[in-house]
Amino acid sequence: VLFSLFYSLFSIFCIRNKRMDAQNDPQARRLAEALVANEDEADCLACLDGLEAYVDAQLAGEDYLAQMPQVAQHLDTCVACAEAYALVYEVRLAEANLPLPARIPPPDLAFLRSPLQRLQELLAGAVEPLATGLRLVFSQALLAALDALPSTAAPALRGEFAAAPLFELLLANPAPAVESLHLSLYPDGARPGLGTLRAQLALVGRDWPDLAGINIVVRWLGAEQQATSDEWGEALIPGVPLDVVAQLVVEVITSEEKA
Amino acid sequence: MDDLAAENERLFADCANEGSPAQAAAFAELWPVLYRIAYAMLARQTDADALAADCTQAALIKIYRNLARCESPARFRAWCGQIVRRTVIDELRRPALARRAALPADEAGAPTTPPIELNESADLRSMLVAAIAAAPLSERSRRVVLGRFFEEQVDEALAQAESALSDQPVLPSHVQVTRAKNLAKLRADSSLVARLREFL
Repeated sequence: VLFSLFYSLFSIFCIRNKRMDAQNDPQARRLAEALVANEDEADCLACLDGLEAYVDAQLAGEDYLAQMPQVAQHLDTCVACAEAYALVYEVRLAEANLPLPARIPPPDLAFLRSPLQRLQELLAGAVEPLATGLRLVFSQALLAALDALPSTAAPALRGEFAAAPLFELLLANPAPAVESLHLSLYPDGARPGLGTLRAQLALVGRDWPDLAGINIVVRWLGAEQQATSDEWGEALIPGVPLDVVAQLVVEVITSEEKA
Repeated sequence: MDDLAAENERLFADCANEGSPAQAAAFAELWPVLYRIAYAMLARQTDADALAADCTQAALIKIYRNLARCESPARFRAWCGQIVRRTVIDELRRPALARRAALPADEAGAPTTPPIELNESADLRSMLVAAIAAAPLSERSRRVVLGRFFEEQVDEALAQAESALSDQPVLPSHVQVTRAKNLAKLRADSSLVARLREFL
């Protein structure tokens, strides 16, 4: 028993001495820590995330070891990350003189959304079916998407407007009762800065001359204009300021129950 | 703002111009720049062309999806370069491929040796020096380990010294990889690791 007790105390004493020794020799301690380190995948990911900044600092002649000691230590303890670092370092070093491949294949840009896809996505968020009809909320992005579509020559409006429309938007089945809504905005030649919004409606189960009396409400920045469709389902809303088009809200009220 | 920053901002704005012809042109403009980076990193792989195309394509899609995370459009090309480099690294690390970056000749593959005999009463430094001296490492390997840890030299200085000794260009990255591999060899000696743990 005495021997065991003595041996245990001696062991504790030895370990304490060893730890003090390691404390007193930080260089040896760092190397020992690198040798006993148990790094896992999370350490690798953290190291890879810091690799670009580490190489940036190294190439800039900064004290990268002091700035990012965890990355430096991990690179000493993980061969795979050290190899990844070498690839990044060497390609950055040679940045201005990278080898020229014999042939560069063309990119596949199918991942980019076409202007039409983009417009459809925006419209999906801009059109809100209502119990009484539908609401369309314009935005700068929606106008930009409309603008990006190839332009089509549009006929002047009943001869009253010489200019082509500023935009045209055709919504198919935007609400259960609405088969289509065609909106176009024409500049008003006589009143600069103002335009006329033209709405052409087709409703499910209704046809000429049963399309009269549908209310179209246009709002912008606290202002409001209303018009009622004629028997062809067409309504004109004049006096719309052209500089607030991105803030327009258009409501089409098709049912008896008014919003 | 300098020309490069303005040009980067222009390219960023075009890439973000959703659905426009300018957007497609901007991504097409980025493609060869990023492909060259990927190709340079993968040049030592047997299927470098196909891998470079795959990685560049994947990087292009990541750039497109993460445009909003580009904090500095004035450094847009550098940001795109980071993405393609990380994509290549991730590709090389995929376990299924287990690709290994080809690096200059080193001591990889040296046979393992029996555990190193160490003096029980040695202090930490003496024990480490004895372990390094007894391990199957080349002279260069010993220098880059001891140089970093006991002489606190940076890899640039170690690489310069090794270049002078070998009469061949040695990069700091070569020094780093050599050191990592040789520390891995030392770590393979479980009795040494157990002894070291007593000090920590």
